[in-house]
Amino acid sequence: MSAPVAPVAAARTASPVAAEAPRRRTRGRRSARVKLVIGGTIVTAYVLAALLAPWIAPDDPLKQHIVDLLHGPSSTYLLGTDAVGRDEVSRLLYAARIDLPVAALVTVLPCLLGTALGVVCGYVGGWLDAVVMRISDLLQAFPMYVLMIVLVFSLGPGLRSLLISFTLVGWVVYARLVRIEVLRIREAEYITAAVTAGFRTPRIIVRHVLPNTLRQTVIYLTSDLVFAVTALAAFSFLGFGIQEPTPEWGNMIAGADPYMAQHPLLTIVPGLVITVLALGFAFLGDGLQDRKEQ
Amino acid sequence: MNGRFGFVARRFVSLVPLTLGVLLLTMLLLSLAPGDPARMVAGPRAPQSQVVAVAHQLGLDQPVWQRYLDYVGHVVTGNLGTSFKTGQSVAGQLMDQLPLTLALAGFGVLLALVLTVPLAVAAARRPDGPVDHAVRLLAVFGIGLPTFWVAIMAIRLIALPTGWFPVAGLGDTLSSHVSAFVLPSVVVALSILAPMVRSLRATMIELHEAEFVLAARTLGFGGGSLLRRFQIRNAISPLVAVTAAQAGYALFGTVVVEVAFTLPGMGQGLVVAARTQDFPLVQGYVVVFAALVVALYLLADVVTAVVDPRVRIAA
Repeated sequence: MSAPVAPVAAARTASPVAAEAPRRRTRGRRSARVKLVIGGTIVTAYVLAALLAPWIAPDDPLKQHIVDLLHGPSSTYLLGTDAVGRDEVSRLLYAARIDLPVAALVTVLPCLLGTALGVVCGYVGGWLDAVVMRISDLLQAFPMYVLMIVLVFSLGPGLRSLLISFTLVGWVVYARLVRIEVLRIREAEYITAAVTAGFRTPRIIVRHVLPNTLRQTVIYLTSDLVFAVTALAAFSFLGFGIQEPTPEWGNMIAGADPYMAQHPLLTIVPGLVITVLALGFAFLGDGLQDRKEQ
Repeated sequence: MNGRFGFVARRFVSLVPLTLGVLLLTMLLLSLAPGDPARMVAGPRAPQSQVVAVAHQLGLDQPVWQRYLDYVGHVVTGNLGTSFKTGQSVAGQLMDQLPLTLALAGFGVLLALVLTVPLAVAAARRPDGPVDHAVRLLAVFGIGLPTFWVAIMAIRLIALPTGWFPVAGLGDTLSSHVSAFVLPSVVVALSILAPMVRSLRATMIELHEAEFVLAARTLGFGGGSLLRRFQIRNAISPLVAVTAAQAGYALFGTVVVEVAFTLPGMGQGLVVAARTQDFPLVQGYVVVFAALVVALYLLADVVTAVVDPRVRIAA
């Protein structure tokens, strides 16, 4: 679909309406920056909320005010209290201290495992590559969540199961992504140069191959965080996630759902909190992707 | 072998090792579960001799490879075992629940497709124009919305106040069956829509700039006929690929949506089986879900081969 004789650089940006291309590119660059700023601001705000929760939260997230069950919003309880009388705002803030690090872990662990396997498979190849790729075919035949539910079923609900199941399921995409990048990089002249210079394979992998795969991995990792944030909440909703009384946005929604008629904010606000954070990561991922394409 | 049937037949054969692997992995994963299944069936206060008898009866005293072969044999003949809790046939229960889940996922995917095509075509018509920006923003939102929360909101904010749709379950009459599917299907569709729109939009923009489209334009094709005869036709293969991937995702969407709307499908069944530690039942669900995904990919390959001759020739 691209012109056979066009120089590489020109072919990338050339469009039939050539005059439009530069304008579109600057506009694209600006929209990439806007996305990065919006995403960065949202994520920074959440991280700050998590870090400062003990100081800015008005109340102990576990303290039950027995006389104020399902209390409406007031000056004492900004968003009211839940079914056992706990302050909603404090629980939302403290939940950030659970949801953010857990979301980060369930994304970074598969990324590390997948990157390691992808680099080795792509660079070394051979039977190891064949075995790992067949295993990843197999894992992709399962609907991801079904596999996760089964793992959590096998290992029991809670943090440990979440970490293990996300890692065992999530590494596949990273491994494939990195492997393809490595196959491309392996043919590059600077790798041939490094091999000719007599550098040992581990050094070439760590110093020359790995850094060049990072960009693509980081882009995927950012959009994977969107999935992690919503999936963690979904697991809580199904009863396989972080368990009560630990405040977590997903289990807050599940716990408040039966009382939606009396106190709708308890269900609506944690959902919005999850959505906005997911949007933050989505904007960051999009911005990084757009910037890479230019 | 060649032609359409040869291509499909070869794809079919290649699924055999995949299916065997799926069964092996299912068994291995479930063997991670703590506790002795025989003890669970016999009951916590049963004497050790009875537990041993149950283990023998369930074939748990056999070596792993023997159990695997037995299991494969049973699955091939349609026997998925019996539930620990109810003693009923797993295959029977799954067959009862399968139609609902398939219908829900199917309606969801169809609805998503119906929404994807006009949105993506409209957005691609003028890249970076106002419509394009609106569609892309919607797509970002679509990715960030937690499906189960959307389902809860749909129940509380639409189904309850209007009374147009049943709040839970299917109801008894045909019309209540139909209306019970509306909101869940919409939620499933929304959960898979965004990546489909993004993908088709990107394809359409690429096609706008393709040389054969430029050639067609030079020959005087324009507007609708250019779109239909040159662009949409060439966009079908990538659309089928992303739809297949998203349909697999929709199967999970149905788990959450069925739980939220308390619909008696496989998704809700899986969650209940996992909560009650019903080992053979969970195993059955996993096998059937995996089989559905494998079948889905096969279907996608077949559709692609039918609409796009290049795929057949390349394979």
